[in-house]
Amino acid sequence: MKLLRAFDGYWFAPAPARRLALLRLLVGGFALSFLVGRLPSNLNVAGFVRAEFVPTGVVKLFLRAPLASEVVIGLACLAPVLAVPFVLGFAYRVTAPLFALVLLWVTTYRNSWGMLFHTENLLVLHVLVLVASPAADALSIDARGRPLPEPSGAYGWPARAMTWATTICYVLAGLAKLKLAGPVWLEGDLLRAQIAYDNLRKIELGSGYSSLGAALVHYQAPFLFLAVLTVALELGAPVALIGRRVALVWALAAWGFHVGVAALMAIPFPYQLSFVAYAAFFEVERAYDSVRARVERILPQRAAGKSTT
Amino acid sequence: MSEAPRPPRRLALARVPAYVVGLGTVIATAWPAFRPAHEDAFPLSTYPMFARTLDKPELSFVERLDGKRRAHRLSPEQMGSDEVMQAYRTIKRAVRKGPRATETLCRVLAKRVASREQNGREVRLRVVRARFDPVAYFVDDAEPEEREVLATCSARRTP
Repeated sequence: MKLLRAFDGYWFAPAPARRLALLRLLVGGFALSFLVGRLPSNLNVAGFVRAEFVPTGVVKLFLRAPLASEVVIGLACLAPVLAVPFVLGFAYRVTAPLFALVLLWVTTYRNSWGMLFHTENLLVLHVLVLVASPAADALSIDARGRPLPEPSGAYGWPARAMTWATTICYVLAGLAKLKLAGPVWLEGDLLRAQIAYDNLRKIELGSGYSSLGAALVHYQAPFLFLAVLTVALELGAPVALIGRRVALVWALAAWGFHVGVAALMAIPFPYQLSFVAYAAFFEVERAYDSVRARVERILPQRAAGKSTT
Repeated sequence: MSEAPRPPRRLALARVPAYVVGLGTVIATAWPAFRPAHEDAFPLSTYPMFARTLDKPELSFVERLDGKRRAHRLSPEQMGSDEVMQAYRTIKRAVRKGPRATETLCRVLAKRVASREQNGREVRLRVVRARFDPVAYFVDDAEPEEREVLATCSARRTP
């Protein structure tokens, strides 16, 4: 019983409403730009060959054959439209769950053609958590004219859930390496071969590749270091749950890892590279206040400068 | 004897999504750990990318032959996808399914490419499977160790 109470205290540690609201703005803002940027790709799916359809996740629960192309196009266009009220916090209780459902559907449908991309998983999980939380109680249209609520556990648990989901995803990636390849993965030769094969595949399939990765493959030694570092980062991800300083070190290392993946394999993980994926680990409202204070310091000076000229 | 103050109703209600969705998402995210690592899904993934062992993998691709029978790789865009990995999977799945599926893919692609030809030239394609040593490919400029043409086809733009 004591343990349960301790966990409840941890899960419901009070947090300011603005922190959760800022997470909504950051994650929602990223989702909106991502869905707009990926719109051509999501529309392109409407023209895929029916025989290539391999449903996964929720799509597998409802479909055995692809949807009519008009429906695919409609949903792909609807997703960024619904992201707007999510970001603004407008009619949040209705629009946010709708946005999450459409986002989940569109990304899952995009992944239902034989290729699972792994770049959007964390974004979808974070949005699913945010829509079930009171993330529009501050910095939103819904909260206009209302006093800022007191810090509460209701504003704390979503960040907890998001950080846990983030660390678990990394641990799973580390476990997969050990499950599928075993400890030999740590020797680096497999990573070297993976980077070589990924770039080879891109060259042979007529696409852009990483010249840095192709050049590094000539050397064996760096891959031992990179392999050990990768698995340590992935399996060690739960250390980020200990405290904010450790989280900052781990998040910077994870971000550096994704920069490395993009540089050596030309595979960008946009959500992670934007650093928004790690925002839930931090007191984002402090960064917001600091930026806001600076802007306010600069703006009156400019206004004063203009009035004197 | 005084009773402990009850938590505000709103906070008590907030615990429902906190545990159902919050903890539910965490448990669901961790769930793939108990599945075989190669059984991937979305968004609940085992994240098996870059984890598999590679020896000398086979790679299938599509080539277009020009008038002098020189081969040019078909780009992912020409295959109807903006993602190289999607194009890779499409060819791989067809080849795995067998000769009929490979020939069908070849014909579908040839028709697609021919439909975009301005001058009505005949489009000749072939699906090729080759075995590579990925590291030697870059270090020694090694050619594929085995190379096999799995399907050939042609198409012309219909007026």
